[in-house]
Amino acid sequence: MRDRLSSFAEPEIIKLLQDKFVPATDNDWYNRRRKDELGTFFMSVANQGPRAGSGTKQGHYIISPSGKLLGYNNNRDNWNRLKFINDALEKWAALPESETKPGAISVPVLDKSKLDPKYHAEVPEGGLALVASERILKRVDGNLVACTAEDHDHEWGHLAAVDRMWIQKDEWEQLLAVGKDGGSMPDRLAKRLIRYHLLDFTRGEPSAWNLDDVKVIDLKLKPLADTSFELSGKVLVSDDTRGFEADVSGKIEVDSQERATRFDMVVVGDHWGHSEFTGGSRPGKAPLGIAFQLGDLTKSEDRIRPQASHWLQGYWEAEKQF
Amino acid sequence: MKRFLIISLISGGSIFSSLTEPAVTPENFEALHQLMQPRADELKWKTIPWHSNLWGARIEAAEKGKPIYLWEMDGHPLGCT
Repeated sequence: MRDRLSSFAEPEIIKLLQDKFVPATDNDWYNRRRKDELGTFFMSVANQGPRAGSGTKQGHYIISPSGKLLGYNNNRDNWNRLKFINDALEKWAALPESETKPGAISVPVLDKSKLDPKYHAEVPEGGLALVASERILKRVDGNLVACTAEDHDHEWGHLAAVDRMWIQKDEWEQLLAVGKDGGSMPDRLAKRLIRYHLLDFTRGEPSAWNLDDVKVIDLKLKPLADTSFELSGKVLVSDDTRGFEADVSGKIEVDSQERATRFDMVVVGDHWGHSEFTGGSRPGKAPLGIAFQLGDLTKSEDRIRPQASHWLQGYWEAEKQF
Repeated sequence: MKRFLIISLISGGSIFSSLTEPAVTPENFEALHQLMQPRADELKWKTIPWHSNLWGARIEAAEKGKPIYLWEMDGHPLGCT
């Protein structure tokens, strides 16, 4: 988040990245562990720099398509980042045409069957990806409004944070079946929503809830018409140090072939505390809101795996405590 | 517990609806959903055409003859990090 506010909001850096580079993002947690062609390439790059060896490989890299490291930086100061970018561009300009000419390097499309299944996952076939956007809120004269930087003693905790939620094909079909007759949200999906997504992720990646932290689930679906359903209810989830008590409301619509055309959900309530690696929450109870919507699977950013899916079986089988 | 909330968007401070129980109603649903979305001033960094994975960027960089700028974090940079 800090990078988004600093160097990647700086017009000169934005222009350089738009014009001179192919900009990329990726998740070091997976890339440094995966045993496949992507992981091998990433480690061959990272091991040319100061993050060589074991441990985190976080940072900013400038590399040639063939895998030559042209620069590494992990300093958010704009002057340092600009120098890093320009120094790397000088090194790029000094490379032979056999490295830099368009098409000089051939990069194959990855064979998905050979990607490391432990660290590679894609949106499930026939399933859904929801995009979740979350904000800390405040009440002002009875109004519920978004917080600003002045409201929170944390550099970026007031900004909207984004995550994704995945639903498998059979789970979507079960949800629709319940929606047609009216009834409770299927347990596995409800537990996934609560344990892995009704979290305060405004200051980074929080720990997921344990199964016995889920104290109240009252999530009901009912039909509004042949092709639309309503979700409503309440949840309470808490442990010894943090919690979230919230109202949940949703609008789901399908086309004639029962494909989702809308999956909007709003979760609003009071939260408190924080998890081990996301310190800096506001004192006491304070309002928090999360909005979910159907992801656009033609956009690669909407296909990014959920933050809490490091261990995919645990994410899918959310009704179990392993 | 009875709650009295009135929802407004920070952009204009305009009142969209008033709430009693429950906090989310059909009347305020859209306004609340919008309230949580990133605002334009939070999205300058997204004017950069980020790839969401290294390999896709590598293919494009080779085709175009450009270097790759890779932003790598423990947790996806386009996610909640």
